[in-house]
Amino acid sequence: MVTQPLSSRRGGSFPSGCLVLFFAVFFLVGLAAFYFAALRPVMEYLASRSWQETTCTVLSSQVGTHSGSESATYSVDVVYTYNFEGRAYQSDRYGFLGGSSSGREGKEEIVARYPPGARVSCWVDPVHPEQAVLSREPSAEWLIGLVPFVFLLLGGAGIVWSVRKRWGARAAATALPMAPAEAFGVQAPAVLGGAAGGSLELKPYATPWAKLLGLILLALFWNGIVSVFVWQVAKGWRTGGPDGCLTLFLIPFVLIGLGLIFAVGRQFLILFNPRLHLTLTPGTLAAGESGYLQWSLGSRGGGVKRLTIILEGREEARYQRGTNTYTDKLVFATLTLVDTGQELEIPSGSTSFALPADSMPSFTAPHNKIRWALKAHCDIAGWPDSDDEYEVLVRPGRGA
Amino acid sequence: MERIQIETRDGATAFAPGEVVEGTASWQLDKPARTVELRLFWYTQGKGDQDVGVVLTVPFPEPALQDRRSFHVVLPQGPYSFSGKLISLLWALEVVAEPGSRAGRIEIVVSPSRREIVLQPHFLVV
Repeated sequence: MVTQPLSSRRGGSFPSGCLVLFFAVFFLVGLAAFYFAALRPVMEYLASRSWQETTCTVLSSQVGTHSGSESATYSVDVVYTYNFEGRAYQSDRYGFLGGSSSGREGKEEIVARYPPGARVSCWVDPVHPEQAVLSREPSAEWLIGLVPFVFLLLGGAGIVWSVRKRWGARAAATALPMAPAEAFGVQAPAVLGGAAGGSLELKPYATPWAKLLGLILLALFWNGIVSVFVWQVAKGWRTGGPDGCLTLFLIPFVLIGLGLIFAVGRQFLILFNPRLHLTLTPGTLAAGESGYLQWSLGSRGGGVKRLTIILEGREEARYQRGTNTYTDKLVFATLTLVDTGQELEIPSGSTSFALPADSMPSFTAPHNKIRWALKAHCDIAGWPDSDDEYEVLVRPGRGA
Repeated sequence: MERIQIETRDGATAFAPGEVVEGTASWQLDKPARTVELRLFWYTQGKGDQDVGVVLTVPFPEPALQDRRSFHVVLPQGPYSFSGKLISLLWALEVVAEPGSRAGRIEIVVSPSRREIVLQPHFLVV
């Protein structure tokens, strides 16, 4: 009987090249938009500090209207002349942020300050006198430049993620013989003192700051997109032509956006929670052997009413369905190490425990993992609770 | 009809990490093979996309159309054979003849107890 070889099969084919291309478009569009909407105005603003103030004469001024497919945008169209070092010049730049945007009233106010024939101050680049602006001050509109920055960040992060994913898939496909120490696909962490049985100060998967930054980016991205549609709907209601269907359709998206803003606020408050420090001895646990965990909370426990630390073993399976990648997790072992509400125990303490001899060691492959982690929960009355996770490595026992 | 077969000594299919697996590989091919080799590998099954780890390859030089070769491989320390709700990890020995990607395979168990570790949700007590 002859079959197809299984050992030649490539681990989880994945069209990561398409993903890189997809994120590259995001990145490049974000980069170009960020340059024109934020970077260039800021660079010109900084350079304009050496520009010279000159008197110029307004030739014409009006609010320009630019019709779009959905609505019109407006611009400040001012033409003026000025003399610099004996030569006459003409310019039509109001400020460093060109283009048009919504909001006619604001533009009308600016245009009213520059009636035709008025003699006003303008700023001239002494090196390139043909360059001049009427206003060199930044405005609130410059903040629009942060929207493409979010696209730039997401595109860049997506490219890095896709490339790493591709490398992971290649590693699975080549599947070279592993070093004995990496038989389970995991490398033992460096421990304090360098000894295998030494202590290890555990680091959480994500710091509170990293979580906050991630939530801010997500909230900006989500609400940035949703706000465009909300703006259209609000405009419809204001002008007496409301779109009821679009309004109803938007409600869940707006609620998610509000939820994200709430999550950002909650995560911000968590920054002020006491930080939990965990030290594990030995730094790498072994099946059938004992471990020793020490904890300490900054600020003498700072209002923590209950501290819970559990050791959890779980399966993690990553798979692709269509263009989406999912990761399913299932806990197979739970060991409660600390569960205390005692005021004296919460700020610092230690506990000993033993892993059963038949515990499954940590295992890492590109798509499938056996992970062990310490999950800590600080219950704080009247304040957002802290939840942190710390990866722990479990190796085979010595008797194995 | 083509045939590729692997037999372990005494028909053993369960081993401890670091143990030696001895046996014979035999084949009868319709078309000549440029290479025939034995591969020791693990692979995953279950919900996640499949991962494959080839740990050892033993080439059989100058393979004939009908041949029989003995082998002797030392198992690595891991990973262990296990079966969970989402993931299972299995070990196998496979003889592959190229060209044509013709193969014969047997599954083995690698774990300290020589039994597949079953991951069942459970709570432990300190």
